[in-house]
Formats: sequence, C-alpha cells, structure tokens
Amino acid sequence: MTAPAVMVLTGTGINCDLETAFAFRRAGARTKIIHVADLMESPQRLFQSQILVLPGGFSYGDHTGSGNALAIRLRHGLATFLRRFVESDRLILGICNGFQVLTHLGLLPGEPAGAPDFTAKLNPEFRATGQDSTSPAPGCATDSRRVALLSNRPPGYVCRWVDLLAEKTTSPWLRDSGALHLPVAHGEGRFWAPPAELARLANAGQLVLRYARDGKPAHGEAPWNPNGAALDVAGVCDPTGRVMGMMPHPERAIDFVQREDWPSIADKLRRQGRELPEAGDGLALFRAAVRYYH
Amino acid sequence: MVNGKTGLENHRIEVGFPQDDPVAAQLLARLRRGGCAPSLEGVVRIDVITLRGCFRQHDLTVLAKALGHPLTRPASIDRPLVLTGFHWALEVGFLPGVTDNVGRTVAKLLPVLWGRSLEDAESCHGSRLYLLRGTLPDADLQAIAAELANPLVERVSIKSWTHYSRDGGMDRVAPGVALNPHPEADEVNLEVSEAELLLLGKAGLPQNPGEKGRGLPRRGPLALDLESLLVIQRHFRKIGRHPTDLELESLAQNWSEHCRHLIFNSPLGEARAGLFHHYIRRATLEIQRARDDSFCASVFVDNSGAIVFDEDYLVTDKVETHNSPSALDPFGGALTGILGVNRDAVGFGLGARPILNRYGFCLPWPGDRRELYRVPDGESEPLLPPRLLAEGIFRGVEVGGNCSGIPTPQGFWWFHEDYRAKPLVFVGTVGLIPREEKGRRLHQKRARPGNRIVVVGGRVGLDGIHGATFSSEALDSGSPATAVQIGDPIGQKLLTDALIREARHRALYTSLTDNGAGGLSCSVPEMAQESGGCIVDLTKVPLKYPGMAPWQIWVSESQERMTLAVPPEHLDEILELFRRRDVEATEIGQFTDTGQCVVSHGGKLVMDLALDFLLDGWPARELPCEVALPPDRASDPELEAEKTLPPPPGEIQRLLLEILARPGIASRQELALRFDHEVQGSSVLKPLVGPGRVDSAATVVRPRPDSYRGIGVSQGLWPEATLLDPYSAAAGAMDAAVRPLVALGARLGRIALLDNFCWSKPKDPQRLWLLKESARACYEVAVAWGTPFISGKDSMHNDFSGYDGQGRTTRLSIPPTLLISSLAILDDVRRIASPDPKAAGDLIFLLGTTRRALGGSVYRAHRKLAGGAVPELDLSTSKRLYGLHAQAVDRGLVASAQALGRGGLAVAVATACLAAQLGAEVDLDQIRSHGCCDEAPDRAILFSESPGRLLVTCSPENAAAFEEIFQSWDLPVARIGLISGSGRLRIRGAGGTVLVDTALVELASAYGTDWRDTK
Repeated sequence: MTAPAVMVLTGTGINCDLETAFAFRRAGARTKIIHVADLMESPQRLFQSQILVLPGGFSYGDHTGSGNALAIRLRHGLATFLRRFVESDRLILGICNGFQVLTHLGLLPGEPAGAPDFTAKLNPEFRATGQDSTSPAPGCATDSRRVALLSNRPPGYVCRWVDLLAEKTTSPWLRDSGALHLPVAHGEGRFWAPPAELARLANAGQLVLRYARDGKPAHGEAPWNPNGAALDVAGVCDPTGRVMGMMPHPERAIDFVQREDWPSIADKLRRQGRELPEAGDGLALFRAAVRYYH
Repeated sequence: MVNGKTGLENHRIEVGFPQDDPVAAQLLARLRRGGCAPSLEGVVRIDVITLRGCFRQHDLTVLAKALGHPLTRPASIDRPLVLTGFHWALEVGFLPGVTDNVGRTVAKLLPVLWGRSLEDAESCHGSRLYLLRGTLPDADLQAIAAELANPLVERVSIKSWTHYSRDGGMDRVAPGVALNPHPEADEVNLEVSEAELLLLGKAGLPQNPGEKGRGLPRRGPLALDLESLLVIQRHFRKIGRHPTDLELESLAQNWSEHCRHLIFNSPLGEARAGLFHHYIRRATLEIQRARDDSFCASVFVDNSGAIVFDEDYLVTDKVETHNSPSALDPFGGALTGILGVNRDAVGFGLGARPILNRYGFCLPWPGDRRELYRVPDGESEPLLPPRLLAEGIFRGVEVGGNCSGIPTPQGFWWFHEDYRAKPLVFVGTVGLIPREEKGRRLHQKRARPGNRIVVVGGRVGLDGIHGATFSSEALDSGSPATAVQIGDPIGQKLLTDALIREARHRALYTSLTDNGAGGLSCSVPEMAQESGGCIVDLTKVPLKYPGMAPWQIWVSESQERMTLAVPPEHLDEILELFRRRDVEATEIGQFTDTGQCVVSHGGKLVMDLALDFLLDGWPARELPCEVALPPDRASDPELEAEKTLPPPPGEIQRLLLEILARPGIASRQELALRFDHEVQGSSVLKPLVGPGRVDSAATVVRPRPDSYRGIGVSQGLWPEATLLDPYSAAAGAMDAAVRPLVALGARLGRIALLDNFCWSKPKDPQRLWLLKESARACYEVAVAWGTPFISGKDSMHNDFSGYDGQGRTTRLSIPPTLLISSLAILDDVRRIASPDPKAAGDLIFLLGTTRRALGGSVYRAHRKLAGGAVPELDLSTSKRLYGLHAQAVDRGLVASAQALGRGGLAVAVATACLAAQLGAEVDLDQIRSHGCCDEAPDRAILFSESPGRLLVTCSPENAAAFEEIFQSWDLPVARIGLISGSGRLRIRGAGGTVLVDTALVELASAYGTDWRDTK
C-alpha cells in the first residue's frame, strides 16, 4: 500500500497547518497544504486525498463566533463535495478551530437534521419581540447545526495540558488510543448540546474523547475539564467514526519533549538507567489514520 | 447617520448568547468587584452588526441566520432581541475610522452570502450591547462605561429601559469618517521668527483649513528643536524655495528620536562616536573579531539581528517597545506593538517566519489610587487606573500572539509606582529564515533602480499620525488621539503567509521592509538608500476614506503594511498572488538612482529632497552629562544592627511569605494560560515548570520539528538599582538575562543579546550620565563574556506632564529601565537542566558569591527602604563558573538548575519547592563556612539579589562528581542542604536558628496571590 495523501487546509487565519502536516508526515502520510481559496476554486481537488484536515487557528479572527465564518465560506461551494468526500470512505479531522468549523458545517455530529424547533429552545431571557424574526428564512430553511462549542467556563483563553480518555470506539482515528496527554489552547471549546441530543450522542458512542482526571472522567471539574464541556466531551465523531473533531491539539504532542512534564519523566527514567521515549501521545492518532489505509 | 446620501439606510442585526453565558457572568463579577457598580445585578451581552447601504430584506435575513446559531445564538433584524428584564442598555462601538475587525470580517462574508460586495458608500460595523439589570446611579453607569470602553477609540451610548422601549431599542449607528477634504500640499514659510519656529517644532504646523483635529489649532508635534529647524531653513534657502508641509513632516519623522536615535548617536562624555557606536556596536565588533566563527550573521543593519542556528537556518530576534500608545489605549497599543515587532521578523532579509513572541510589562503598582489627568480641569482625560491598564495590555498581547499563531512563552511583569503614567510594554519576536533559497542568500536584500515600490497590507487612514514624533515627546494633553490604533492580526497573518510561504519562495521581490513608525515617509526613503532614490505617486496609495491630505497619506502609520521592491517583470505575478490571498497590494512608484526622494500627488510635485539630507541631515550635538550618585548608596543601618541583634522569631518567614505574594514575584500563571505557548508545536521548556507550575525565567523552543536543536530565551532588567548604581544595575540586568540560559546548560559562546533602553528626562545631564554608565556596563560585560549584541532599540521620553485632581501640575518619570533580552542556541534540548528539583534526597548547591548588599532588592522595596549598596558582578568568576556549570549539565550531573532572581535565595528556594512539590532543608551556615558570602547577616544572605548565582540540585550519586568539576578552580560552591519529602521548607540561619519552617500549602497560597488584590 502506498502512504495515504492528506490535504491540510490553510488560509483565512488558520495557523496550525505546518505542524499538523508535519505530524501526518511523521506518521507516514504524504501531505499537501492547500489554501482555502485554491480549494474553493477547484473543489474536485479534494478527491486527490484520502484524508482532509481542518487545522487549528483563528479563521476569520473568530469574528461572528469561532469557526462560523469559515464554515459559511465552505458551505457555499464545497458542501456537496464534502458530503461526497465523507461518503466515499475517506477521513476528516478537525482540530480546535477545525472542530468548531465542522460543527458549524453540520458534519459533526453528522446526523441528518430535522428542522430544529428553534422557538422552543429560545433563551427565555430573550422575550418574544412581537414576531419571531429568527424563524428560518427562505433560502436557508435548513440549518444542520445541532451542537455548539461555547465560551469556556471559567471564561477566557486557556493553554494547558490535559488528560483525556478515548472511548472504545470504531473510529479509525482513535483505535490505537486509550489515555492521552495533550495540550488544549482555546477560548470557545465548551461542548454543548441539548440534553436529548447529548444522550443520543452518548448512546451512539459518538462522544469519543473525554477530559479525565487520574484516569477517570473529570466530572466537569476545572482545570481537568478546562472549559466546562458537557459530559467532559473533548472530541466527537460522526456515526461512521470517520469524521472526528477535537479541541485538544494532537499535532503539538507527537514528540516526548513536547510534553510539559517531560523533564520530570526524563529524570526518573535516567535514574533507572532507561532510555527516553521518542513519541508523544498525539502521534498514535495520526498513525491510526494512516493505518486505516493499509 | 452619515452625510445623508439618498437610498442608504442603516440596518441593525443583534445576535445573542446563551442564557448561562460565562463571559457575561465574569463581567458582572468584575464590575461589582471593581467597586464601580455594587448594585449591578445582571449583565447580558449581545453582538451587534450595523450595516449601512441599500439591501434586500431577504439578504439581511440570510445574513442574520448566518451570524446566529439555531440553538445557541438567536438573531434579530432591525428590532431589539431583548425587550425587558433590564434597566439600562449600554452600547460600545468604535469611533469613526478606528479599525473594526468584526465589521471587516462580516463584509468579507457578503460576497459568499449575497453574491455581491459592499459598494463604496456602503459599510459594515461591529459593536457590543450590554443590558444591565440593577438600580444604577449615573456615577455607576459612567464607571461601567469607563470599564467597558476607552473614549479614545470607542463611543458609548446609554439608554434607560424607558428610552430603549420608546425608541424600539438602540439607535442604528454607522460611524463614518467625515473629513473636510484638503487634499493639497501647502507651502510652509520658514523665514519666520525663532519663536514661531519653536512653536512649529513643539505644536506642529497650523491645522488644514476647516479640519477639526480635537479642536486644536495645530496638527500635533513635529518634535523638531530650533537647531534642526534652522538646518532645514538653511537647506531650503540653499535650494531656493519654501518646503511643503509634506517635506517638513517627512523631515520631522525621519529626524525623530524614534527613527534616528539621536541620543544614542550623539557625542556623550567619553563616547565621542555616541553610545551606540562606542559601547554597544563596538562590543559586538570586538567579539566578532576575537572569535573565528560566523555566529553573528547580521547585526544592527536590518529590522532584526540574526545569528546562525544551524547549517541551514538563521535565527532572528528583535525587541521593541510600544509605551506611549499603550498608555493611551493599552489594548490597541499592546496589540499593534506585538504585531509591529512580528513585522520586524518578517521584514528581516527577504522575510523570516516568526517563531516566538516575548513580552515584558513594566506596570504601575496595582493598588495605586492616585488620580492623574492630562488636562488641568481635574476631571477630563484621566489616566487609566492601573488595573485597566494592565488588563488591556495583557489582552492586546494575548490577541496579537494567539491570533497570529506565534507562541508567546517568554516574558515577565514588573510592578513599580513610577510606571503609573507611562507603562513600558516590551514586545519581541524571534524568527527563523533559511540561509539560502533558490540560490539567494536570504539575509541580504537590495532594491534596484527600476524596481517597483509595492505597498502590501491594510489601507491608509488617519491612524497613528505622528506616532514617531509623538513617542519622542512627553505624554501630555496635546498628545494626538489619532496616535491610537487597533491592530488586525488576521490581516497580518494573511500578509505574512502570502509573503514568506509564496512570494519569497518564488523570488518575486528583491527587498522589503516594515512600515512602522513614520509610515511610508520612513520606510520608502530607507529602502531607497539601497538603490539610491525613489519616486512615489501618493494618488495611488489605497485609502480607507477619501479626503486625506498628502502629508497624512505619507506619514500615516496604519498598521499591517509592508513595502516591497519588485522587479517590473514580477509585478503582475505578485499583485495577482496577493489578490488571491485576500491581501491588498498596490504599486505606488519605483526606486531610482537619482539620489532624490521625489513624491507627487495628483500630478503635482509635493516633495523633492536629497536622500542624504532627509536621512542624515540632522545636526549632531554634544550631550551634557553629570555624575549622579545618591549619597545613601552604601549605607544599610539595618544590616549593621543585625550584626549584634538576630531577627525576631518568625520575622524572616513572614517577610518571605509577604514577598512571595507581591505582584511581580507571585505567580504569573494567568498569563501562561492566556498566551498560547504551544502553537507551532515547538515548545520544550514551558513558561510554567514542575508539577507545581512555577514561573520559569527562561523558556526553550525547538523550531525544527525534525531536529533536537533548540533556542533558549530569557530577559533581565533591574530598574530599581539604576539610580543607585547604574553600572552595577546594567551589569545585573545583563547577568539576569544570561544566567537563566546558563542554568539550562547554555554556553556563553552561544548566547546573543539585545538591548532596550527606556529612559526618562533625556535632557537632564544626570540621566544622560546614568545612560552612559549603563551602556559602558553593557560593553564591558558583553566583551568579558563574549556575548554579542545583535540588535537594540531605545525609547527616551518616558515622562508624563499632567495634573492631579486639584489641577496642580504633576510630573512623573519612569525609573530608567534597561531591558536585556537573550537567546541561546542549544545543541540538544533533551540535555537541558530544567529549574524544578526532581527528587527527595537530592542535594542543593549554591554557586556564586552572595554579597552583603541589598540595594535594588525586592526586600528593600518591600520594607520601603531607600538607598543601599548594589551588589556587583564579578566578571571573571562568573565566566568560569558558568562555563563549568554548562559542562556539568552536559555530563548529565545536574537534576535541576535555577538562576537566583528577584527575592534572592529565599524566593529561589521557596519557588523551587513549589515547582517540585517537595520540601527542602537549607542551612545558611554552610554558605558561610564555604566562604560563599561576604560577612553578612542571615537576612542579607536570604534576600540579597547578588548576581552570578545558581541554585543547583544533584542526585546523591552525582553530587561528588559535580563538586569536583569546580574544585580545582577555587570557585564559590556550597552544598547548602537537601530536597526533602517532608512537604515543608526549613531554613536555618546563624548558629542553627530556625528562620523559616513552613508548609508548601502556605507558600503556595502566598505565591498564588492575584495581582488585582494588591493594596
């Protein structure tokens, strides 16, 4: 088998494309970084790759909500191509801002959307203003967004390392991962879904990555759960498992010396006369994706 | 409504947040805690987009849907989203012409959503609406407004619920710039009295007819003194005509302290060639001559300095300040500061990629309640309170670094009451650049005659006009508000990527530089030196709004712009590339070899000046200097007394805990969390170290993911000591920057330095003497250690002249501050020694001599004691000690190593324990018996900030080998105790007296103190 080809998006404020592409190369893939503008111009180029990655960053500066503006751009002109891409046994990964984009695109959690009853869920703080100005408008009647990544609780940008537990899942992305130690860096990463939807996703096994404390779920407690995510969710996949989005950054954790605690671990190993490991926990994820094509 | 053009209407889209919005909850807590609105009960925030134009209802609906979210973010059009449940509505938007990034992003989405862009008269604006619940008196509302908006860049509108209901919500405001166009260049008659010339220099040219400019009759300072104006007068007499206003503004920009560093380049004392050449640059030249490697690749000639990283790459570094703008608008000032220094990396050679940001904040004491004003009426134009100043600055660097995808691991904060009026905002950027690409040496650049001048990046507006001359003046009520601007990190990211990853790679340009201070008026002539001249047509420069005068276009400092030299055959290709990447690029002229800088506007010649005169015609003058040493510098009665009287029981421990809780010593974790230091995947030694997450004085990155070669960075300063002993203070700053890298295991020969002098009262001969002595120390330390300076920058006017609440004149000057920034090349990051101790049972060593001198220390500041002797740095001992320590690290003998810093040994040991989450037993008599200190009482040994010292831990197996390395050299090395599993820090003083015996939790609680709580 030849190495799979990975397409990594760049442009509009994406800023983790170089290290994400490097992580895939380290895992044995071939990579191509492509600018959003160039892809939109010839969307069929999507099919030159087996894996599509939406890396982290600040697409459009997070203005109008993180990931929203890039999703708007991709939805107009790339939506059908992306659907075909998913249906053709290919993989998509969204990291951090890329995860936010995938949820705005409705590719995650990826069920076909029923028309959501918007008014029923309208924040009671916002009293009806005579008529419902937010009911679906002609031309955009369907809105497939069913989950959201909201402002962190406690609020503010947070850059720190967290422990994660990967669920036993059929997702190709996580089949070699159990416990993971990865960094997060975001201001809007609190996974949220209406209770019924949350339960449904949990039952369907789509809540594949959870923040953990000492090998157990973090139960919403900061700083182990760094953003107040519902059910400690750090990452979700679609029903096929092939599309995954996650807030933590595996591409920043492919080498041992990227860990924040490596000096302590290295000191212990040296005292025991043992060699230092090379890889960090994030690498398993990229290797698993490459192995999917072997 | 703007100018009332027919057919244009304002529309308003409101987008809400979920009810349990944590950001609103935090805001509520902040407003209550700040004491500004104790009766505030609730806050709801709403995003607002206002569009001006002629739109179809359907299009507005499509946009509102796209901006909202079906489950979490309801949206409404031309109708308030919320009708009841609050008492006051307060909206914050931008003033006309201020960079509005949200408005800009929405405008960019319109072609996708609507199939059309905004037309010329149409516009799109972002603002924020806050609905406030609670009975709020007017004073509280004003206090909330002051907390949420800066009147220099933002407008606030407030409505009571009654008015809001009656009006159907807030007004639809589309802030437009209304200029009274005067797009002409005026002739200026310099054949006037000296008094009139002086006024011209201080207050600037008369305002264009009809222009408002804050109601001032003049345009703002040229900052040219009489001598300079007389030189200009003579020059124009010689060429037989009057200058244009644009020529005069150009000369003012180019001859400004900010651009020409007049004080560093004028004769001062023994430095006949000026301090820069005599001390700073000479140190580098002598070091380069003494060593036969090519460590320094590019020094003092480009936007950044550069050293060799490996066979394939160079590392660049530059540190800037953005003090004056940050004093006015801390968020905008810090943001444009960090984005500006990013462009010093991008503008190095043919373009380096920014790989690391560093910051340094010198801030007023958080609890300082002095009220100061820029105007004498005792109520208008107040200086921002210290907390808002700090929070704005932090947020500026957070947004700038994070949105640009550049890690910001390295920094410091420093609190001192004399930074009240002018905080110092240091920002630095390290870059990486291949040594060669497509056969081109990338650190070399040269614009050639015939190359087109291409400006890339944002459009030009009134932003930042007079920034260069402004930062060359003291901050007072005449400070121009247009100096304030807000950056666009995403715009700059797009520019940087297109430039470095595409245009450079395709060799489409021959030279580039940053448009920083002085805008085009400085960047174009500076580049024109490479070819020997230039000709520019200002009509071609893209403007944010019509009606700007030619001189305004020429000197505007609108951000995120760079200037390129493009060979004519590549012009179409490069313009097309930037168009595809959503970056505006425009050809505005060409480089020539005529020796002249020629500018036209609308077909008329508005400038025709010889380049040499423009850049180097300023008059050099002898600067006066006068020795200034305080009389009490050597006395320390407290230490004398302690010779006979030991400290009362518990006193040392109490002082240690109080000092640990002081702002500047207490944890900086807040910033480490907010500033992304993991992006690019390069971080190796992080800003927080050990399981206890303690601030590290140095950080390490690994810029090439396929190599273990790394870069260590650190910083040092000692402003408290400058007035006491400028030489030792500067030597201490050098040492404080270098030693954290040495602790890691860096060798002195692989370390490079940058200097940033931030001074005050630059006309005072005593301050100039302090400056000279500091520069002399820089020279002597650098040469002794072989650590070259590769770049630097100075900022001389950090003074404030204003009024207190009673209208009395108040002057404030910063303590003269020298920041040294350091970087080291590390061969293998896996071998570094991190600062956190690793295991109970490990032995603790103190390397270096502790002086009986507490001058400049946190201890004395805490005790509010003036004066004191500043401990000196022993150059030869430190050099040998540092070299041997690096050997020990290299041999794997060192478990941890930390540079003793602020708070001396006491704070170092305490933070080491906290980092490791382990206890320690320390015996000060061990230091005495090893001869590692002057004859000194315990408090001096614990709190002296003597330079040249390292705190090292070794496993018991390695301890003997470690000691042996130093033995044959007779160096000060003492085994002072051991790391314990007890969870307690115990320090014994003279004769075994227990000075400190405290649990880690107590230390942690002191160290975790929030700076906002400081009285």
